[in-house]
This record gives sequence, C-alpha cells and structure tokens, in this order.
Amino acid sequence: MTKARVEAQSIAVRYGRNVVLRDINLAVEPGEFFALLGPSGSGKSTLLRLVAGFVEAHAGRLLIAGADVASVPPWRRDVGMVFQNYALWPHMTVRENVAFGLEERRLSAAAVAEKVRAALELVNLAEYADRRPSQLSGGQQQRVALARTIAVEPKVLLLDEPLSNLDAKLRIRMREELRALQRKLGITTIFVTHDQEEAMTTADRIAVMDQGVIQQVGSAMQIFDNPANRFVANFVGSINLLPGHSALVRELRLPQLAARAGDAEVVIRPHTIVLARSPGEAGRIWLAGTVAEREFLGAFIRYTVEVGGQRLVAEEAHHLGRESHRPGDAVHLGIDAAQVRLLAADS
Amino acid sequence: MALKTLVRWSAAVTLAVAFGAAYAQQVLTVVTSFPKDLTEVYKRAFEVRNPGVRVEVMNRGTSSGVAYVREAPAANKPDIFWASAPDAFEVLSKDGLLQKFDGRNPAVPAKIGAYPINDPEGLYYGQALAGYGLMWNTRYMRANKLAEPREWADLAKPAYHGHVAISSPSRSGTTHLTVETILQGEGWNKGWSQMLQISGNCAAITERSFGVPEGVNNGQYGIGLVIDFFGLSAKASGFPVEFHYPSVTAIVPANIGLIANAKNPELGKRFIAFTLSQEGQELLLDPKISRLPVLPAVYAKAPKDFPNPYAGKIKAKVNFNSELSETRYYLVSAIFDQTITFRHKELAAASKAIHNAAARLTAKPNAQGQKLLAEARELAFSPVVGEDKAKDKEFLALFRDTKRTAEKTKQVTGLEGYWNSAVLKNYTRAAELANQAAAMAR
Amino acid sequence: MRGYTPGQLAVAALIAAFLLAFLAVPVAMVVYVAFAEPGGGFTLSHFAAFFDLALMRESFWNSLYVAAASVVFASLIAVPLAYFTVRFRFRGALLIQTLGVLPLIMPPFVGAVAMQLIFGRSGSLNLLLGEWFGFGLPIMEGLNGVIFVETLHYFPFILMNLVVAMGSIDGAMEESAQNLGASGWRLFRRIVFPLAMPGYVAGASLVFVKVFDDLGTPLVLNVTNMLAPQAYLRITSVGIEDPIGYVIGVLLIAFSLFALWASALALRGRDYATLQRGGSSLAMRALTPWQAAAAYAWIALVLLLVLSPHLGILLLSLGTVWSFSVVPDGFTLQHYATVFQDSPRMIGNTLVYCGLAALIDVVLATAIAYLILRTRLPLRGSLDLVASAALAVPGVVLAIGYLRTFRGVEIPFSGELLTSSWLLIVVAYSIRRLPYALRSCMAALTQLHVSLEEAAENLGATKRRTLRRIVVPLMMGGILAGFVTSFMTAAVELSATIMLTTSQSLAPMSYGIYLYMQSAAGRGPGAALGVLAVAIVALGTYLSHRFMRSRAVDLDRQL
Repeated sequence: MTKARVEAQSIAVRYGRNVVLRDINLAVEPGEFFALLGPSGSGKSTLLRLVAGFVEAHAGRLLIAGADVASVPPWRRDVGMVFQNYALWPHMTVRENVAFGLEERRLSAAAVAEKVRAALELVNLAEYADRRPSQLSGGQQQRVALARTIAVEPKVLLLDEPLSNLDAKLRIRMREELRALQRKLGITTIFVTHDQEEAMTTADRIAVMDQGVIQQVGSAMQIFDNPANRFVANFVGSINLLPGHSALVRELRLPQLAARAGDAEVVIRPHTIVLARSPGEAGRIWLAGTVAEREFLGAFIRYTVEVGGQRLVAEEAHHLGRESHRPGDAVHLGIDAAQVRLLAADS
Repeated sequence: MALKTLVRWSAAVTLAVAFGAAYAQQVLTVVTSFPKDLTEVYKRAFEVRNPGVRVEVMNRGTSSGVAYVREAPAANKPDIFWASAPDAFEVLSKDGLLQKFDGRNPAVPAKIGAYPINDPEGLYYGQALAGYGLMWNTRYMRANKLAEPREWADLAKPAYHGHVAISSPSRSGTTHLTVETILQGEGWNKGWSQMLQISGNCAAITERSFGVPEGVNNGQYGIGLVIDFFGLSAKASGFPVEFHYPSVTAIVPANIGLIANAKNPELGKRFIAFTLSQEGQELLLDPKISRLPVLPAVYAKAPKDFPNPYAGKIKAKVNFNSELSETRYYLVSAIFDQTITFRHKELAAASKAIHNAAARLTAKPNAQGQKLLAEARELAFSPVVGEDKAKDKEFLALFRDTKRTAEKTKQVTGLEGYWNSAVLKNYTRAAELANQAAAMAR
Repeated sequence: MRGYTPGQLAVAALIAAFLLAFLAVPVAMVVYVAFAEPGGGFTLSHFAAFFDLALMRESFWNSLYVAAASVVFASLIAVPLAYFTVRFRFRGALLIQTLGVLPLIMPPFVGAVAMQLIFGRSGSLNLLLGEWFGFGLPIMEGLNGVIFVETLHYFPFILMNLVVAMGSIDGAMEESAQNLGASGWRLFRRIVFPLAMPGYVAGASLVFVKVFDDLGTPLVLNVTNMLAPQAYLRITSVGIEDPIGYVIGVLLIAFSLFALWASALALRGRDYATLQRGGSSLAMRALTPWQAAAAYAWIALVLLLVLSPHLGILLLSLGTVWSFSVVPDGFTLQHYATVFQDSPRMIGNTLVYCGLAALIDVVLATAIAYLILRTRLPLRGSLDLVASAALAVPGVVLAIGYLRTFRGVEIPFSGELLTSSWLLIVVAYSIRRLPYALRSCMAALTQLHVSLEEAAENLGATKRRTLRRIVVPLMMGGILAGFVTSFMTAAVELSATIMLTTSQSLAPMSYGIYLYMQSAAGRGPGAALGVLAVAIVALGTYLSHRFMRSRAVDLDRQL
C-alpha cells in the first residue's frame, strides 16, 4: 500500500456565519497513525470529512500525496473512510459490501473475489461473508466496515470515532487490533476520537483541537508532559490548576515561576503528588492539609485535600498493605518542583 | 434493478403499441349524444364492413357536442355529428359547421307528417325518427295507486305531484325538443304555464336526459318525459315500464351530418350512407336501441308492438318548426333553468300548496279563496318573459352569442339573476296565497 | 463543489419545466381568464357576475355546506371508532382497521349509483320502511345524498390520522393527569383529544378539500347546484370561453389552499408525538359488557353502512332487473360477459394511463426528494412546494386549465391535438398524484442515513452510481408504495378524466363506468366494471401495505 502524506495549509471552513475550522495547519507523515482529539464541536470530524471530500474549505489548501485535491470529488480521492455508524448497506451481504469499492474500480470478477477474500481474512471475518449486516454484532460490523475500506487499498485511511459505539472491553480489544492492522499495512491513518486514552494508546502523534482550532500537535507524552495551554492540560489527563500569585503557590517557591516575567498559572498533575502522614523526602516541598474526599479507582486512589483554602487532587497508586487515608485525616502533600508546569495566565 | 428495467421496457413497449395502433388505421371521428349501446353496435358493424378503418366515438351531450365541434381547431375537426335534436343541427348549419353533400337514400321519404326528414340544403340527413312521450314504471304506479297518464296536460294534475321527472333543456337536447314541442303546440304563454305546472309536480329536474329514464327504470320516479327509444329500449330490456305517445307530440328526425373541414370526408360520407342503408337501419331494431328507422321497408322486420310512424299509428299534432326553435334556443334554456331548474324546490312547494288549496276549495267552495288561489296560480305559473319579448331579435341575439364581452356577460347574467330572484319571490308568495286560500275553505 | 452538480441542476430544471408546463401555467391560465377582460385588461366583473347569479351563490354555499357537513358526519363516525381502537383492549380492533380501508377501495361515484338503489326514494331501505312503518328517509335526496356518499367514503382519513395521533401520545401524559385527579370525559376532553388534535385537523382538512372539489359524485347523483359540477357544466355546454367556469375554478383552488394552509398552521409547532423510545402509549383498558355491546353495535352499524355500496354494486352487477324492489328480480353473469367482451380496451387503457402516470410520479418524486434532502440547490424548497400544491388543485380545474392552455396545440409529427390525446390524461393523473408519491419518497429517503451514501462515494462510486446502487434500492419500499398509491387513485379518478377523455376508445375504466351508466341496459355492465375497478384497487392497497411493511423492517435493522 502506498504511503501518502496529508497536509493542511491554512484551512478554514465555515457554515454560513458559523466558523467551524480556523486556520488549520497540519502535516500527517506517510504511514503515521495520527489522532485528532477533542470534545464534540471541536471540528475534528469536520476536518476528517474535509480530507474525505465531503466538506469544502473556504480558504487554504489540502494536499494529499503532494497534490492539491480541492477539485477532486470524494469518489476520486482514493481515501478510505470508516464511518461512526459503519454505514453498512443492509440490502447487501458482507461480501457484497466489501466488494463494492472494487467493483467501482472495474476490476475483473476474479480480482474482486480475491481481494474480498483477503480483506475479510485480514479482519478474521471470512466465515461471515454471506451474512447480512443485521446479523452481525457491533464489533463484527466495525470489522466489515474496515475490510470494505482496506480492500480498495486507499492512500489514506480515515476513521471517524470507530470505537465509540462499542462497549468498554471490546473497545480496548478493537483498538489493539486496529493498531496492529495499521502497522502491518503501513497506511497513513487519521483517526478521530474524543477519548484521550484511545488517542494516547494508539496514535503516533496527536492533534488536540478545540472550537475549530488546533491547540497542540505532538506525541502523547509530549502533550501530556508539556501542555501548550490550559485546554490541552485539562483535556489530556487531569490537573490541578493554581493561579501563580496565590499564597499556596508562593509557598512552593518554584524556581521556574521566579524566573518568569508576567503572570502564569501553575499545573500540577495529581499523580506527581505524594501523600504522607508527615513530611517525607527532602526533594519535595511539603504542605499540610486535610483529606476532604476519597475515591477508590482500583489501580489508584484519588484524594481531594484541602490545603491553605484551596483543594488539590492527589492520586496515589494502590497496593495491598499500603495505608489509605480517610476523609478528615490530616495529611501532608509532597510536591516536586521539577514536575510542575507553567502556563501563560491567559492560555 | 431488474424490476426497474422491466418497468422501463414495459412502458416503452406499451407506448410503442399504443402509438402504433393509433397510426395503423384510418380513423373516423364521430361526435354523438347517443349512448354506448347504439354507438357500439354501429361501430362494430361498420368496422367489420370496412377493414382498416377505426371508428372513434366521442360521447357528448348535445350542447357539449355543438360546443366541441365549434371549438375544434380547423385542422382537427371531427368528421360526423350525430344527435337526436334537430335544433342542434340548425345551430350548426347556421354557423357553417356542416358540409353539404348528396348522401340521400332515395328509399327514405321526404317528409314525416309535415316535417322534412332531410335538410333541404343537404347539410344533414335524418337517420332515425323520434317522438317524445311519457314513460312510467308499472310497479311504482301500482304501489302509489296512480292512473296511467295520456297527455302532457295530465301531468299537471294534483295526483301526480312528486311523481314526475324531467330533465332540463340546457342539459338535454331531447328535453329541449320536448319543451319546444309543447311551446309550439300550445303557444308561448300557455306552453310555459303547462311546463311550470308539470315541473311543479316533478320530484326532480335531472342533470342529464338519461337521468329521467334511469330514474323511472329504478322506480325512483313514477313518470318521466322521455324520448321514445328510452322507454322502448327499457321495456325491451325487461324493465317494468310502459311508454306512450301523447297527442301533443312531434315526430322529428334524429340527424346525422358531415362536419365542415372534416379530416376524413370520404370516410364520413361512407359512414352516413351506411347508417341510411337497409342494413344500417335494421340495426335500429335491436331491443337495446329501439329507435324508429327512417326507411319504411325496415318496419316489416320490426317486432309486433313496435310503433310505426308511417302507418299513422302515432298521432302527432305538432308540426315542429326547427327554425323557430333555433332562434330562441338559448333563451328557452336560460328561462327554464332560472325559473324551473334552479328554483325547483320553491316551485314544487308552491305547486303542492296550490293543489292542496284547490282540493280543499273543491270540497268547500269559497269565493275569496278562489280569488286568492287564482292569484297564486298566476304567480307560480306565468313565464317571466312575455311572448312579445321572446320575439325581439336583439333580445334573442343577446343570448345567442357565446363569445361575450364582460359587459354582455354581465347583462346576460344580470337578466338571469333577475329572473331567478323574481320567480323566487313569486313562488314563495304563491305558496303563501295558496295556504291562505286553503285556510279559507271552512 | 457548490452543494450541487451540473447534472443535478439539469434534473431540477427539467422537473421545474414539467411542473411549470403542466401545473403552474394551466392553473395560472385559469386564474388569468377569471380576471381578464376579453380584450385584455384586469377586471373583477366576472366575479361580480358570479356573485350576481343566485345559482352560483347557491352552488357556492352548497359546496361549503356539503364539505363541512361531510367533515362533521365523518368525525361522528371516526372519533368513536378511533377511541375504541386506542383505548380499549378488544378484538374488534382488526375490524376497525378493515373499516378504515374498505371505503377507500370503492370510488365514490361508483358507489353512488348503488346507494341510490339501496337508500334512494324507492330504494331497498325506503321500500322496507314504507312497508313496515309507513315512512321514508330522504337520505339520498339532493345534497343529503352527496353528504351521505362522501361521508361513508372519506371518514377513514380522519379515522386513520386520529388513530396514529392518539397512538403516539405518551402514556405518561395521561398518567400524570390521572395522578392529578382527572378521569373519564374530562380526561379525554382536556388531555387526550387536544394532544391528538393535530392528527384530527390533518384528516379533517383533507376530507374537506376532497369533498369540496369532487365532481364525480354530485354528477352521478344528479346534483348540479354545487361548484364543481357547475364548472364542468358551464365549460362543456356554454363553451371553453365561459368566464364563470374559471371563476369557479379560482374559488375551488382558493378554498382548497386555505383549508390546507389552515391545517398546516394548526399543526405547526404542535407535533405532539411525544412518545419516547422505551415509553408506552396510552394505557389500554378492558371493556365492561355494556361498553362492549355498545362498541360492537356501533361498529356493526358503521360496517353495514360502509358495505352497502359494495353490496349494492355487486347486486347490480349480477342482477337482471332491479326496479322498485328491495333486491333484484333475478341474477345473471351476462353483465360480466359483456364487460369482458367490450372492455378489454378500457381495462388496458387504465393500466397504461395509470401505470405511466405512477411511473412518472415515482421518478419525479425520487428526484425531488433527493434534490431536497441531499443537495443544497437554491430554491429546491420551491420544487417541493409546487409539487405539493397540486393537492389544492381540483381535477376539474386542472382539466379546464389544460383545455384552455393547450387549445389547438398539436403533438409534433402526428397532426393530433394534444387535448384529444391520452397523453394529457396521463399528465393530469401524474400531476395530481405527485404529492402522495412525494410524501412516500421523502419519508423513505429521510430514513436513509446519509452516511450510507457517503460510504459509497468514498469507495469510488459517483453520485449517479450511488443513486442507482444504494439510494434507490434502499428507498424501494417507499417508491413501490408511492407507485401503487398513485396507480390506484388514478384508476378510479373521474373529475379530470371526464373532461379530458374525448372519445370512447381512449376511455379508462372510470370513464367507461360513467358511460355505461348512461343507458338502461348499461347499468349491469357498468356495475360489473365497477366491481372490477374495486378489485384492482383492493389488490393495490394490499400490495402497498405489504411493500411498506417489509421495507420498514429492513430499514429498521439499519443502525
């Protein structure tokens, strides 16, 4: 399968007076598994549909494999799309669904049959070839949709929230399969989701979007460790956000804050905070507080602690035998200055 | 997909066949007011004798037929006009819509009584003879204990109130003829008076001429004014009905004519010749049709009780003047409609009141009552348009022109409206007076 | 991409041209002549002349009266029946459904003749009443006859609409009212009926329009003092120039439009279909023995009335002579023989005309639905509007419009007049049936998720191929239902037919029945032909239901 580069240059899209995408600049490398992550209304699906050709840009250029595709209709773009609701045709069998794109390309009957077989094998659905979509489970339908798209060997693969209709366990299994398949085929893939865990576990790079604007592009770890603004920080993982000039922050005596001119906000990830009955290791700054809430999440425990008039959330890994604090207990929070990130005050 | 292809092919094939069929033959177009029973028989007979020819029958009421012929564009005129009402032919010939040719069958007499069978100018030919008469349902009459009527005038009698039916001259050429016959037979004023009285006794003024014989056949009405073949054919078909010619009747021909600028004049002439031939005339004796042939020789083959106008069996008093009829054609229709058809309810009510009062006053005479009654009769049974006005050429012309300016339309409709409201007042008043008269019979 | 392709624009233009030529222009012509001075120029004198004529005023009033009375009586029949169906658990529900279908398969003018024989002055009923009780019921006299026949034919419109509306009321509405103390009649009056009102209004306005515009029934019953018959009579006997006929046409259209608009207004913003997924509709109750008896009695009475024209037509078709008696004198199959001998052409004509018209309808309807729901063509809403406006144009007015507009126009290459050809009949049928087909196709396309088409395009199918391989097959249920509905209603149409059929050989079955009924010997065959027409319509109704149901199941399983 060819590996194509997808590039958006200053793309803008609007519906009437409603601006849906604003000055989008993006480059997806050949063979990359790229995620568009954002809440609903962020424009991520619109961007995906733009690449597929169902949405027209009012400004900017879209290049696929180096060619400007503005004038190319969807049926000639050679990008494969898997829809959120799978869009399997109820009046056709699985085989006929998968064969559709191949028939449109006027391949010989033998070639079509062969490619259909190969595609169905790839997704482990060969025995279901003659069933109708209504006879399949959600996960199976999704795989048929995938097979249908892969069969035509497109330059780019587009996935529109493909896992959101599946239940939790299935979702995890499917995303693993998806990732494995993509690695095997090596096809450039753009994947839309609102679930940050999904994006982080599967994508090579992620673009976080909000209100039609790309907030940040980077690998999962880059985005998580160094969020560009408050939105990204909040959206990917949970945070404690404190104003730079508050009393509590001053107590932390952060060197990076002192070195900074102007206002800033302080981001502390809950899992970087340590709880103890009394102040512990020296490398941390210890604050005294009281446990307000306690939530047990299995792998870790989340504590909400009242400190100096503010509430901080701390997450601690849970093992058998480890002590756990209860609401009302007095605790100390240990904060590592190196783990603290700063954001511009108006980000 | 297969379904759609199939549908497409069927549509294409059907279209091809339809068009193909239409153009494989010569087509003769006949505009006629005659019912399907008759046209079907002639159509089949003619087509059998003339392979490659198709007869297109256009069913139209007489006035619609005239309008149709008039309005057909010059390049697409129908070929034949065939109807019962001679005045319709007068209208057509006056308007130059018929073609002159010599299609006479010499075996057909020149006249029936004093009435010429064929048009002297050769524009149309009598194809059948028709008289007008009374048809009644024997079961109905028995159930309602009614005596069989003999004359039109009988129908004005109180006993028949609510049991009679007629159609309107504007809707039925044959009713128009009947009304004209009565007007010519009894004179304008007396004739209208009689019409009004008869109409007052009617249960309904039907929309089409066939509504009358149909109603009598059904037993809906007891007696109807009909053209003879309606009664004769119904009786022959087994319905419990009888038919009788009153003395105030005319035997007039039902005519057939070639339309001017017809598309197929030769074919048309052949058809007309066929209808006048021995074979064509014999078809009229079919029980479903039951019309009187013009060819005297045919009567030899007719069933026993079949009326024979040539043998003097029908006492027709009236010499029908079709020219006179033609000049006042629309006027008569308009008067009838405005004063009878559309005010029928009130007329019938007035009639009933008058009968009622007359009965009571006969039992208990009262001079004052009689006077009121006479007044009531005068109000209810006088024509809105006097005899002299009816002869006024300009007045008549007003009704004749069909292409009217808005102003003329307004004039005509104004007059009609005036008549309509005038008689409404009259009938209501007549009913009042009659009731008063009845009250006086103590 | 402007939101539409040149191909789509071309299709839209063609459709617009068709609608323009065969709907907008003829109707505009009628309106024009009604307001035009013969020499040119605007005038209200024709309207003045119209209102001057007592007969016209009377006809106007009569038409309004008959339409309104029909709505009232139809409601009296339909509302209790609807209530029984929705409220009570009883086995008569199937019977009521049948009641809702039976009248619609018998065209009113065919039934009218039979009704005369059963309910007329000397009809079966009155003969019996006269014999036993000495009085008669003037059911079929004048306007009463028209109201009676129309009511029995059209009440299903109200019944069906009301049942659907009442059936989609969420049970919680009623339960909350009960919780607050309401019950019985108050509950019905204050909660149930008002929530079902939009359904009622939809049905009632439709009945009003159809009765107001109907030509065939009054004509066959000999009632001429109503608007539609008057228009027909004036145009055919006075001539195509008679302005009064056009004035009547304008009035008919105006009132029909008004009724439809009023109904749309009443329904706007009042879509009370509140039933949520997982909710249940109104609670069903069991019937007390008394209630059951009353319900069954009512149903039996209505059933008897509804079946009477069917029965009458059957008797007439099999009877030898039926005159002044309760039942015919004897029975015979001769009439059917006559029909099969004489009328294969008429039956063929009906199949061709109605089939073609229905085909045109579904093609147009699919195209319009697609243009409206899948493109962003400017003014596409107006296509929908114009096509649906055909509902407000009575058959008689459309026919008058055609006769006037296409007067003298010849079909190219044939030398035949357009107004004398059957093509115009087909066009008239298709135009007047288009709104129904459009509704059917719109419903079908709305249920089709657009992602199914996008998936096809994404895999390389152009819009045209997507249409052929995906959209049309998945819409097929709606398309077929639309086809069948168009076909059936065209098969029994008389109003436009009677004006546009010029010769016997072009006559479809409906006109054939009318012709047959014009002679004494023809009543039997006419009735036999009527029975055939009813059979065709019944078959079509059944097929249509089957298509809708099977396709609905398919689409349901679509995610």
